[in-house]
This record gives sequence, C-alpha cells and structure tokens, in this order.
Amino acid sequence: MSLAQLLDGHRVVVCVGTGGVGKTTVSASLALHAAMQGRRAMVLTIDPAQRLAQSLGLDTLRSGGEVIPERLVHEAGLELPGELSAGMLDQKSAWDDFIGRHAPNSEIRNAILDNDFYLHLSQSFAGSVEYMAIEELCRVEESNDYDLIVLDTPPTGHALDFLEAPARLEAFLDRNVVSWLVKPYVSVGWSAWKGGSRTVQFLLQKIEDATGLQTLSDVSKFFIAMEELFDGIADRSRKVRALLRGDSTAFVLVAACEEQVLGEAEDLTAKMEKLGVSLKAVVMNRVHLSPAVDAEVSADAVSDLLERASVAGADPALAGWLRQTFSNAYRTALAEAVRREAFEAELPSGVVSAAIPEMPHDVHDLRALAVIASYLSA
Amino acid sequence: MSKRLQFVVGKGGVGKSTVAAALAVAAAGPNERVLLLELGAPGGAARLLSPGKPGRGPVEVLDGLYLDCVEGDAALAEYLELVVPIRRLLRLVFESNLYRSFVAAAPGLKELMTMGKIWFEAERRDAAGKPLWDCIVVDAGASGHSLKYLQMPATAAATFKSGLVHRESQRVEALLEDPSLSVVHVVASPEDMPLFEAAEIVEKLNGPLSMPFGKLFVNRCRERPPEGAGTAVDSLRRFTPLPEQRALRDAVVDAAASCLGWYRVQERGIAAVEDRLGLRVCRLPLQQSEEFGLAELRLLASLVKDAVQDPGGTSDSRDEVS
Repeated sequence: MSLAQLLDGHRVVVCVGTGGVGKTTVSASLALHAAMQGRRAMVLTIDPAQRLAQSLGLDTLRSGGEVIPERLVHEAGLELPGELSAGMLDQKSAWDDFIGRHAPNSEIRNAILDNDFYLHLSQSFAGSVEYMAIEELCRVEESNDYDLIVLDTPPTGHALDFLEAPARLEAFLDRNVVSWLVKPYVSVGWSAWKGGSRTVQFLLQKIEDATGLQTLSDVSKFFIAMEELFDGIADRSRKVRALLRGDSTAFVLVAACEEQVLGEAEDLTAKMEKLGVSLKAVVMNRVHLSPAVDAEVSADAVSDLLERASVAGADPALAGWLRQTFSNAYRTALAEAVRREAFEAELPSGVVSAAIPEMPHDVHDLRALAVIASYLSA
Repeated sequence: MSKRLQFVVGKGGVGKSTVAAALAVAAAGPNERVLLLELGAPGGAARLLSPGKPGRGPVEVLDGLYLDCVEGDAALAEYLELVVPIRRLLRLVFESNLYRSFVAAAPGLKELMTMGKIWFEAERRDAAGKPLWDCIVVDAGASGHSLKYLQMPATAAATFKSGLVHRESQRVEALLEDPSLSVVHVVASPEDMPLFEAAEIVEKLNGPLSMPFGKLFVNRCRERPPEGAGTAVDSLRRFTPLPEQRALRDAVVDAAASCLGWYRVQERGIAAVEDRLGLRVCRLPLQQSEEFGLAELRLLASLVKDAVQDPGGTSDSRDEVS
C-alpha cells in the first residue's frame, strides 16, 4: 500500500517527528495531495514562525483556518477538485475559546479570563500549547467541515508530550487539589486552617513563602472558578483520547536519514507503542537517492566521461570539483540507504513507508509542495 | 573565553548540539573546567561525547570537559531539597499524587526549575571560593522552544509577584541579562527558513528579551564552487555520452546541479540575514564524512574558538556564484 492510499482511508493524520526534518512541509503536502484527490483537506500548524503560511504562498495564517485562494492554486499551475485549507493555532485565543466553550455561564467565564494567573498560563508558559493543539484538532474534527485534517505537531523536545496533554490537564485540574488546598485557603487562609495535620500546614506555609501571597490567591481563585469546568474537560479528554486512538486516525512519522534523527525516531516509535497509538506510516524526507551507477568503477569513469565530453578538461580544479561532488553525493546516498534499511527493518510490520528526495532548492510554494505530494503515491 | 555562561539556541535540526559541543571542547583544557549542559534529555551532545549511558551528575568526557543533563523534574526535586530541609517530609511530598500531577501539569514549572539549576551551577564555588566552572555551555536541546527557557525567569518573576520564586527568578534573570557573564549564540543551517528564524531570534535577543547576543553560526556551509562550474555543468548536460555512460553522466550532473543550487540558496540567505541584522555570520563548514565523530568535532572547535575570540563579526568574504 502507498502512503497516498493510506491517506484515503483516514480522516485525521498526526505528523510527528523531531525538529528540522521538514514536518511542516510534509504535513502541507499530505493535505495538498488529499485536496488534489477531491477531498476537503485542512492542515493545522502551531508553528508561530508562519512557515506553513510561507510555504503556501500566504503572508499569514488566521487562527480559525482559511481556504487557500483559487488564484494561488492557479498561479501554481494546479487543479484542485477538492479544497485546501490551512490554519495556525494561536495559543491565547485557543485558550480563551476553550474556556468560553466549557464555562457554564458568563460570570465564571469572565472570572477565569480576568484572572492574572490564567493570563500568564495562557500566554507565556512553555508547554501549555500542547494542550491547545489537541483541543483544536478535536474541535476542527467535530465541525465536520473537512474530510481530512493533518496536524503538524509542536516541535517539542519530547515530541509526544502532546499525546499525554489531555490526561495531564485533567490531573492538573484535579478536584482533590481544589477541595484540599484551594478552598480552605480562600475561605479562611491557610494559616488559620486548623483541620490539617502539622505536616500539611508546614508545607502550605512553605509554598506560601515561596510564591508570595498575591499569586497564591490568584491561583486559588483560578482553580475554584475552573471547578465548574471540570466535568466538561474530563469528558473532553476522553473524547480526545478516543479520537487519537481511533481507526480513522493515522500517525505518520517524518524523519531524515541522519544518524541522530533516526536514533530519536526509534525512541519516538517505542514511546508511541507504549502510549497505545499505532504508527501507520513513515516519511523519509530529503533522501539522497543513489544514482544507478556502480561505485567501484566510477572514480576513473567520471574522469573518462569528462574527457570525452571535453568539459573541464583544461581546468583541473573544475574536473576535481565535479568528481568530488559526485563522489560526495554517492557516498551520502549509500550511507543513507544503509541507515534507512536498518531503521525500516525495525519498524512494526504493516507500516507504510514513503521517501521524498532531496530537492535542489528550498520548498516554499504550492508548486514545490505538489512535487513532494507526487512522491506519496509511489 | 571570558563569558562564563554560554547558551546555544536555534531551530531543531540545524546542529545546535554540535555547535554547543564544539564551543565546550574549545573552552575546555587542563586548567579550564567546562560544563556542557543539555536541557531536557541526553541528546546530540551525549551521543557525540559519551557513548555510554549517562549517570547522575556531571561526567568528565574529555580533558576538563564535563557533560551533564538538566531534566525539569529532577531540578525541581533538587530545588525543594534546598528550600525544605527535612528529608522525611520531602519524601511525603514527592510521593504524593498531588505533587506529581502538579509538577507534570503546571506549565512552565519545569522550565523555570531548569533555569534555576543552570543559575545554581553558574554560582557554585569550590572550597577556595573560586567558581567551580570556568565556563558553562548550555545546549538548549532538540526543542524549538529554547527561547521559552530563556524567557521563563522574567515570566515567572512577573507571575509570582513576591516571595521566594519571585526573588530567585529575578536573580536568574539578572544573570541572563548581564553581558559580562552570559552570552547567547544562535545556530542556523544555510537554508531560507533556518536563517530566517535565526534572524528573528537575534532580533528578539537584541530587542524584547534584552539578552547579550554572541555569534550567529551558520553550520554546514558549502564551499564556493570553482569559477565556471555552472557553465561546465550545462555543457555536460548537453553532451551526448556513450549509451553505457548515460546513467553516470546524469548522476554527475544531478550531484553538481544540486550542489550549485544549494550554494546559491546559502549565499542568498546569508546575504539577506547579514543585511537585515547588520552583522557578519560565522560560517562553519559542511564536513563530508560518513559519521560525524570526535575528529570532525575538534575541527569545528578550533573554528568556533577563533570566532568567539574575535571581537568583531567573522565571515568569509561574501560571494555569489555565476
């Protein structure tokens, strides 16, 4: 089965991989492929650097997602029987929407949105973006506006952090935390909290010393307001987990044939298995394809060729350069082929693989994306 | 190298770990104790320098060069040991579900504690009162979020308006912003997107982050092709070879054309970044070898050393291929 055929049978594709392997480009080309097949496809990214926008020929991407204008499609010489949309996750507005959707009334919603701790949580803290990426995926999926959604996952060190995000959000918003720590604090202040053991009192005192009173009261108020949202969020988390592990969702690993990248990719596949999501495809990006010639004879053969063609004959520097670039390319291709074979031999059976060759230039327009998409059917 | 704390940041996949390791190798010596810290989990630097499983605490991997990894959970536990000096109580805390879920879920806490740990190492003294490390190189890890780490102390100081976390965050922030102690190097590869993002990072460092920027390293730079390379490739492409030489001809042309194409991307990208930022980038060469090992690393280290010691910008002359 080709990767293209695999895509046809799925509604959600999650692209995972370590940074720098071209995840955003591959994600966009998967969605473009689907649109060329007549499907309504959406590619979602959370990359604030707007790389997706640039590779699609747009200046910026809106957070809600937008259809790529027909003008751009025609300029690239493409025909799209379907529709290609792209969206970027804006962390702050995703959090606000999330609170808005789950808050039972406007009073509670405003109490959260105006809370200082919430403002920092939603804007600046590293890590909270993973929660929202998954939330956004779920929201778009439920809208039923698309036949295929491709998620370009955040380039975190632990590339699978986002899989655990729903469970962690649930843990964070644990009802016990509220009833044990937060409520007593707000009603009477921890120092006056007689019910607890001396250990707990001591600990609370330490936390208070460490964080400062004002913050703690912000944090407490935040949690109390959030309590009203707990059931909704827990329910949501279950849905997200089901979606990620469902049959119509495919995880696609994007990798490059470098030693370090493949090492990290191996760790990634092992971790995915542990988390209960199944890898369905691997895309090797920027592969150097080995030329159809024999390495043994090529050193002399290149000289012979250059002589016959009477190119560079008079200039030893030029001839040397041509021989060198060829031999570098050849050795790179061979080393990559060996590494790739070893990596793919370790993959679980049934995982589809595709290779996208190294392009002689950067990829940042629809035309180049279409070239990449053409390799998915191979 | 006088800067005691050197951060290496940049987009994933550009060779941050390699450049960080080269900086550390360049700084280390019999009389120079250098700590190379990886954030998150043991990654590229560990793969390069220590083939074995990393243990807890710094391991000497080369003469004077120590390697360690800072992981958020452990840093937090270590920090609490300093604040709450009762072990039995701490065990209760660490083992409670509440603590575990809070640490796992509270966004930013791990990053903050990681920065705290770096600060702690930077401030550490030996028995004679001398700094324990002559230089600390921080590899900000495989994440594209290394800037978030650097921002964390300022964010935390704003969030926690008083108390211990506030005071500690301010101290870390002061260290990061002190140009006599810290420096942030940015790494890119010679392609449009990585160079573009590197330029953005440099602007952020010079602007809103107000952190001392060091060098912009462009890793894996191709050498300038010889004069007339483009013309030679074109005439080879037009040449009609013997049938049995056709495949070889195509392969030679493809390899050379790809090399020329990427060289053009490199020069255009570097020129754009240099114009935008008004500086010279520091080029590190692409090394053609099957595996990148210690020999390759030492070559980079010598280049990096020259660059860091040079007070101005360093770069080969800009050139455009015809």
